[in-house]
Amino acid sequence: MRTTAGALVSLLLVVALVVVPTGATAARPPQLRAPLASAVTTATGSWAIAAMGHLNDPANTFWELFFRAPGATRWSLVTPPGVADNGGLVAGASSGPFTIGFEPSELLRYSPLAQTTDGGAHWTPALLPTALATAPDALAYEPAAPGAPGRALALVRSGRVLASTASLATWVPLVSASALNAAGTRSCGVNSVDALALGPDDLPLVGTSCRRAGQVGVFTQTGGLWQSTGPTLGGALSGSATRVLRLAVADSLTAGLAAASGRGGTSLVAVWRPVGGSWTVSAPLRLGAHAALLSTGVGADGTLVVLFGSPGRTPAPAVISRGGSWTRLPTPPAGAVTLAPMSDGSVDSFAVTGSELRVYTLAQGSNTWDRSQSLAVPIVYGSSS
Amino acid sequence: MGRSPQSGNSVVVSAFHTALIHQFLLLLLIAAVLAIAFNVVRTIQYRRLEAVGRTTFPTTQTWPYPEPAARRILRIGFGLIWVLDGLLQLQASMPLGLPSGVIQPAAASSPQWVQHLVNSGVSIWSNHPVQAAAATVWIQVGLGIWLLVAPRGRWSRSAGLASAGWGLVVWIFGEAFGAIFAPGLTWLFGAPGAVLFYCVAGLLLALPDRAFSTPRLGRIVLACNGAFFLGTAVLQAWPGRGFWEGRIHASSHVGTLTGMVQQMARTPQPGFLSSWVAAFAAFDAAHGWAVNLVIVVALATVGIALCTGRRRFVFPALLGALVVCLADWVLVEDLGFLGGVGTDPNSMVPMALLLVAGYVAMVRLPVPVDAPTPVPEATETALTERRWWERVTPSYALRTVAALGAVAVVLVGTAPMAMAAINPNADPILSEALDGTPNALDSPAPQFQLIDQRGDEVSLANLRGQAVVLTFLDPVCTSDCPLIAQELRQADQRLGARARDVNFVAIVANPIYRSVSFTRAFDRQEYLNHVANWYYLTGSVSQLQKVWNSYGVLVGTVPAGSMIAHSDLAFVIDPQGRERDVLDDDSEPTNAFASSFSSLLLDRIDQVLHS
Repeated sequence: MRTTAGALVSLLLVVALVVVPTGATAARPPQLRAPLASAVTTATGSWAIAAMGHLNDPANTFWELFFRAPGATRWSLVTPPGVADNGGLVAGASSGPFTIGFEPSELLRYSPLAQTTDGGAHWTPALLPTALATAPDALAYEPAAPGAPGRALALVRSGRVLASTASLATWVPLVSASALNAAGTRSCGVNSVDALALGPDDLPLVGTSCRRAGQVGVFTQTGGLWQSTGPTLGGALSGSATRVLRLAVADSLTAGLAAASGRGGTSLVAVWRPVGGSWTVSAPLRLGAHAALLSTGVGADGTLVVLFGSPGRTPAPAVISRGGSWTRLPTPPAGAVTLAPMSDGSVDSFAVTGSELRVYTLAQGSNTWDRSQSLAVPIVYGSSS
Repeated sequence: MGRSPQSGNSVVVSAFHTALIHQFLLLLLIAAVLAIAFNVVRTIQYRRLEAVGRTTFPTTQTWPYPEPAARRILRIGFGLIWVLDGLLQLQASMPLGLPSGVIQPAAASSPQWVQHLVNSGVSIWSNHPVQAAAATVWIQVGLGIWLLVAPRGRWSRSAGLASAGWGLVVWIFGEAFGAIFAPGLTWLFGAPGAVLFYCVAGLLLALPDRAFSTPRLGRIVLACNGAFFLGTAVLQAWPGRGFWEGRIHASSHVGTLTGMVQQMARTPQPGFLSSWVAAFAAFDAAHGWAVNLVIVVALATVGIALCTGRRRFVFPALLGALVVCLADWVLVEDLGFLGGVGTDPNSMVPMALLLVAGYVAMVRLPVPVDAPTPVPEATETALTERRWWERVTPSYALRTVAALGAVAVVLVGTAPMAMAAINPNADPILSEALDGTPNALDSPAPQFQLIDQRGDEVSLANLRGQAVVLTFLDPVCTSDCPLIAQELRQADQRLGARARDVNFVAIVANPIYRSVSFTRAFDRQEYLNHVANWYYLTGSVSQLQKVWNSYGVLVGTVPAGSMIAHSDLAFVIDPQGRERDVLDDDSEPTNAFASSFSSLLLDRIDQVLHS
């Protein structure tokens, strides 16, 4: 009898050790995902992606790319031609060329890419031989530079990360969630890869969801080995599982946006790390019980802007600057689909009605959104069916 | 993509009418042959009778009873219903409208295995819409005539059995088991399926006459109906199924019955009927609970009374049931057959017939007829030993010939239906319905020299000596091009050994995404990368533009996230390098359409190879 009880206890212990990573509590990563509606500002300009058309009809929902050059006051429609983009667009911003990936839709099973070096005036086609994952940071690109050959990363729907040279000609597998776990990075308990970025010297940065409470999953590959470099959450979020929603590198600063879910619900935290420095973690921004992210934007200086909302409620925007705390912004005018943080500290809101785009600007320190631009986008309905 | 031919498509309707006329002419021929045969038999009979000194035909058939009244009700009633159902199948919308308008909606809420089973029937119909629709007309008209005209005995019982068999096919594949496996099952809307009553009637007709000689059969029929009514009363009373509500919480949402009746009121029908149905919908919306209470009480009362088997209870119950059936048929089922793709008068008429026949079988037993006046020298033994010409009456002979004709009508339907069932490839008519018939050409095909997916140069001149199917595909197209590629792949597979005489060539129809890496990716996506006679060609924009222009293919860049717009054309080029056909191939994303286009293409290829 005593032997049986002992065996049972041992079995339970073994099960507990296998299931729960050492010294941590396992948790379920947040369901919250970053939408494709997004914006990014780099030294070469600001890019914004917005869904337009008949948004309740996938075949007549068209994703549009807008560009605003540094110092310019108006956005231009620069959606690359030649491919139906009803599945969505994914931006790969860099210090040089801007790369866009097409989410395959309907019967297409792979992702065409397009790259521009002149703000979207001309595009060069390229190919990813499989389907891009549906995440705003599923694509990362850095051009060749002295001492660095340039590199591209793509997160694909199978959950793997593929890598290519800057020519985008040949893609090879780089890593996956299971490979990260197998590489001894169990401190996170990687559930899925969710965001990519390329750091200085073309070092890949991989943002993941973590089952281990309190750990933000950011990994980098140095010397051929993958290492966890993400920050640890403290305080009320120490028991939360996390998912990296955005990851961007600009001017040697890594900026990230993560969701943390625990007993208190789901929160957003912003994280920053300068090259060679340590992570700064923001205070959490609590979301409503059924809130979803509607848009995210990353500024050149690490500013993050989000638009979130619950079904039936007015969307709410918030912004956070590097090292600061979340600031709620005034509710943007109706139809807001994408928010873009601009270099001058203002925020642009893209409001859409069918094929009409209206841009509203919230100047830094202002409490009112001012209409700054209107644009009729020449959508051809029915062209994708 | 997504352009389905409408159910009234003129190409299909015209082909349907042509098929019906051809089959009708065939039936006229069969009728003529049978008429001649009848007269030959009559002549032989008369001569043989004359040889034994008789100058008149026999006048009485030797049946111990007249046909039982209940049996006659079933036979004539269901015979007429089958004829009506057959005539309803003549509606122009049947070939294309039946699967999407009747069969699939009937199965939509049933479990997966039911849908799977029903879809196997749908795919037969969808692949061969004209054949199947015409076949159904003749099968059902033939069954009806067979029931109506067949003389008693084996001919008539066989008609009952055939009726039950075809009824079962229709009940399973056409009515998805009368939706008995779907939630929301209710007698009011036709559960357990009108055709199930046809099956029951057919089985009763297949019974020997002696089954009708006692009240037992009638009692069994009524008791089964009673149990059925009780079951439907329970279902109707079950809470949470939406029948107790007329309007839900004063909102715009309505209860199940109101919703259904409102829907029926919107179908095309005479104005007076529509207003009756709409008025009942409004009444039910206002008094849903009371209406359902009346229905539940009526069904339960009728059910209990029928189960007793006692005449004094059964008769009023029968009258009550007929009233309820009539009310439901008019106000809820809306007569069942209006609206363009109505296939039968729904369940109330056959159910009422079955109830009446059951009652008659219980109360009106056949009375033995007086023994026929014996011919002077005949004894009982002699009677049974009489030769056929001594006992077959002209009426029996005529009905036998008529029954043979009816069987011929059924066979005229069954044969093409069986052929359709075993042919997995769709008829070209679907493709022609959507894209029109191929245009015949006879001119030298414009030359081209481009790079294939392997990086090799390919020219039309290299392919001389073999037929070429040439089309234009965008490698990053999301809709039509992958479908066209699959149609070509299917045609190639169906060519079998003849594929060595044919090359399938696609030329890139995208001025931007046109590199070999894209043609390879497209080939991998469409499983064309190992097809030996498949060439996906590309080149510089100017090279491509020249080929597009020479073949009259328009390729245009559309802004704001649209794919490239280009003509969907396929050219059939003969081994001598001459264009012979151009086919429009604006595809529809269904297996039936893909199969249909490949059938059409194969027809054209065969002509080119054999000319």
